[in-house]
Amino acid sequence: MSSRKKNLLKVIVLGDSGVGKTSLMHRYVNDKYSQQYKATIGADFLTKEVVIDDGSQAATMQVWDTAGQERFQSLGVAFYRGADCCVLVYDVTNPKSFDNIKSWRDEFLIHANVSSPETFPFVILGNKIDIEDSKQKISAKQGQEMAKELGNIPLFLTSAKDSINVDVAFEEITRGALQQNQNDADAFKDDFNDAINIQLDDESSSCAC
Amino acid sequence: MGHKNGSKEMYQKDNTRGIHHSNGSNISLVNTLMKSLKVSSSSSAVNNPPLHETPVRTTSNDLRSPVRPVNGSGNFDAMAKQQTSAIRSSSSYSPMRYSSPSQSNSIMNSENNNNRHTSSSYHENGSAKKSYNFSNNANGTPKLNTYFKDLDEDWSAVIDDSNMPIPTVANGGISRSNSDTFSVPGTPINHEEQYGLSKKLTNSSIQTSYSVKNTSSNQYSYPQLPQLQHTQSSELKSKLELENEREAQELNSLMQRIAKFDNIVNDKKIVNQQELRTISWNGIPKIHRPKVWKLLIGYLPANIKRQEPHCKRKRQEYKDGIDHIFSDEHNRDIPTWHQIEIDIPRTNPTIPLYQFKTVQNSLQRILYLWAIRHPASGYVQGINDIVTPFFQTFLTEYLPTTQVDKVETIDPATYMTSEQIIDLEADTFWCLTKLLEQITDNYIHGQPGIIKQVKNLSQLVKRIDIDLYNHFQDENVEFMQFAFRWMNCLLMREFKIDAVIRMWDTYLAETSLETTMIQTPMIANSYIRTPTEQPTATFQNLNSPFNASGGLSKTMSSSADENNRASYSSLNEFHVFVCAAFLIKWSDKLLDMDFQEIITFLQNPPTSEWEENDIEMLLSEAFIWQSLYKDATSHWL
Repeated sequence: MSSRKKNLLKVIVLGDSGVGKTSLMHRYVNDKYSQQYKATIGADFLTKEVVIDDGSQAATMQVWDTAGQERFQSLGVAFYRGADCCVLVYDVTNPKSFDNIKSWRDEFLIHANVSSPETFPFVILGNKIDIEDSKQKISAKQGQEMAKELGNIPLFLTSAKDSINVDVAFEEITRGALQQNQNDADAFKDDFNDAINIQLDDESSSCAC
Repeated sequence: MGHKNGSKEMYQKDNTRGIHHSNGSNISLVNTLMKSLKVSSSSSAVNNPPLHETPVRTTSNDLRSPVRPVNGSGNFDAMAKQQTSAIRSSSSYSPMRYSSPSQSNSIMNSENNNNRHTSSSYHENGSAKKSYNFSNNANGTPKLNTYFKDLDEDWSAVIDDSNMPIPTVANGGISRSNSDTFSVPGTPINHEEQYGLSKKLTNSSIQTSYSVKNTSSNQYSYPQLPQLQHTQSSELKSKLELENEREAQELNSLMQRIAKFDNIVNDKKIVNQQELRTISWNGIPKIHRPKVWKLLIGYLPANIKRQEPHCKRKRQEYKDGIDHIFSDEHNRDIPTWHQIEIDIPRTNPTIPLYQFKTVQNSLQRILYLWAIRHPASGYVQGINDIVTPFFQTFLTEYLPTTQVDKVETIDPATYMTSEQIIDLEADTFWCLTKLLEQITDNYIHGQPGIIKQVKNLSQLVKRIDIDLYNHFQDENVEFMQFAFRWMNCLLMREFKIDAVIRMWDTYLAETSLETTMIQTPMIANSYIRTPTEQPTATFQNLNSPFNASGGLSKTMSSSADENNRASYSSLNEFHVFVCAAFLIKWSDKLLDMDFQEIITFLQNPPTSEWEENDIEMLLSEAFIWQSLYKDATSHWL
């Protein structure tokens, strides 16, 4: 288990509904774009084999592409746990989604129970830069300011549709996840990712009659 | 106590469904279960009193649950206990896994000695799974006739009586080896004459609505049923003849079925809701579906006279609601409107119907109005999926019969007036409201209904398929990771819309009658409820006298059972059993997978091309699990 875990990078993608999380993931994983994605419910799961930096090491990236609607946040814990990197996505044409980046980050830190929140790797993606400039409400500058404010989080302006900056962004995500993964491995000799399944507890509470 | 209750429920439910007839013992997966319980199912085959009820889950695979308490009710405790141990002791035990072809053969062979008749499915499908063993004596017919005297209200029995016994087998019986036998007493009666030209119209719609499939879509073949014993040679019959007979018989079945619905829906002063539920469980003919759905969900009153005025009033109410939200008096809830607005284009994006502006506008209005009228829940993603079966089904009311199958491609604006569209929206709105009333907990803050269902699913799988459950544990797979969507969207994302609509025939028949009878005001209980409350008691049969009486009232009358069942059957509960059946189907595959493969598979199951017969199989399996485990589930929580 622990040997396999070394090569597993768990990534979670958060952001408001409709900012393009699913599109970005599919662009990265399948290099495809479609207008026909349904709204994500709960979280979608995608995987991609990645080669790290110099090509010396391979890893599998497991991505949880979550639903954006606030109502679904209550189940976050099932998906957040054990994440190695958190990707925050906003839509450059939607100021609300930009404003919510901070709360998404906080939401994640609350639920994911990461070992050291200060160093946990986040990456911010400002998506939909393919849309004409006049409709873009959030400038690159605003984005960078926010990213800096939140603790020098790397920011990428992307387009899933036109495949702009997606691969670069995911290289950064991979790097961050790998770093986090190794930090955790160093910090815990045990495999911390082996979550205790609380459902075991149910047994004892069942009716004894 | 729990076991006792569970068994009683089993008994009760079987009765209410009319599943158990003296002739009703089928080769079924349940027999496998029975075997594992060391209960001879042969004892359940005969000597049971006739039930004058609409029977019959016409499933493609003889799955009409012959689980029946032996000798009345004596072995309940033992059965339930043995069942658990039997299941646990057999490591690979899971009769409903797809790829366990041989497990049940021996049992089935022994079953063959029970005279048994399988009423033909009105669908022609799933043939590979079918096996018919009409009678083992040389002239099966007389014996069968006696069955049918007991079943004078059994539509399928009536059909089969007239041209018995012609098996329904697709592919010209390809799946059957030439050693198979069935007695064929003569050529089928031409029921087209019998039912006259008035059926012409329905013929075409039937043909299409119950799309007759010759393709065997069952790539995951169920256990091949054993070679049947011969008494008469059928080798003389050419496949072609069989095919013709089958088709004729099938047509008959459909007509009979439609006539049955005609009777219930039109020919009485008051629609017999219970009868309607029972018959609808097995699928509703397309031409009846819009009206029957409205009845089942409790939108249309059962009293025929009241239907029209009621409808009119509700449609006006909806219109007023719409006028209001587009008036100055209403402050638009921008986030909700926006959320719906971005979800509408993502609703069934591959179906042309949902790309038409007319349709998108309608759905936007319906969902927005529903959201602001139900503030405790508000709009939650997934409700946009749930509205579509209603919308699409009710649309067919406005299409000429010949066009019904093109509903997914024609812009409603081309065949409906704007008034009609508003009426359609109103009907959709009210039915959506009724449905969501029953699953409110799924969408309120924290989604407690879904969390509970997912938990129930895991507990159910733990009982049914401990291997799979343990494997998930070993791989750190959490049920929430794949089952959340199953609950939130009622498995709609897993199937194409036609299959979903068929599934809903059953689901709507499973909705709580009690709830649907109550005419709730527009702003429903969502105001009152808090996440901690449990309005529709899922898995907690509060109304069940069984729980209260500790199992004393074992010999309840069938009708009392019926009422009782209706009072606490709930959609959410049944849905969990459907999900369990769905999951366990893939058990063998999943056991060979690691975390990543499991999640990937379950998030993209190969079911997008499932046809109605696949759905019916799933529903039947769910029904069986439900009859085995229903009351027991309340003790897990």
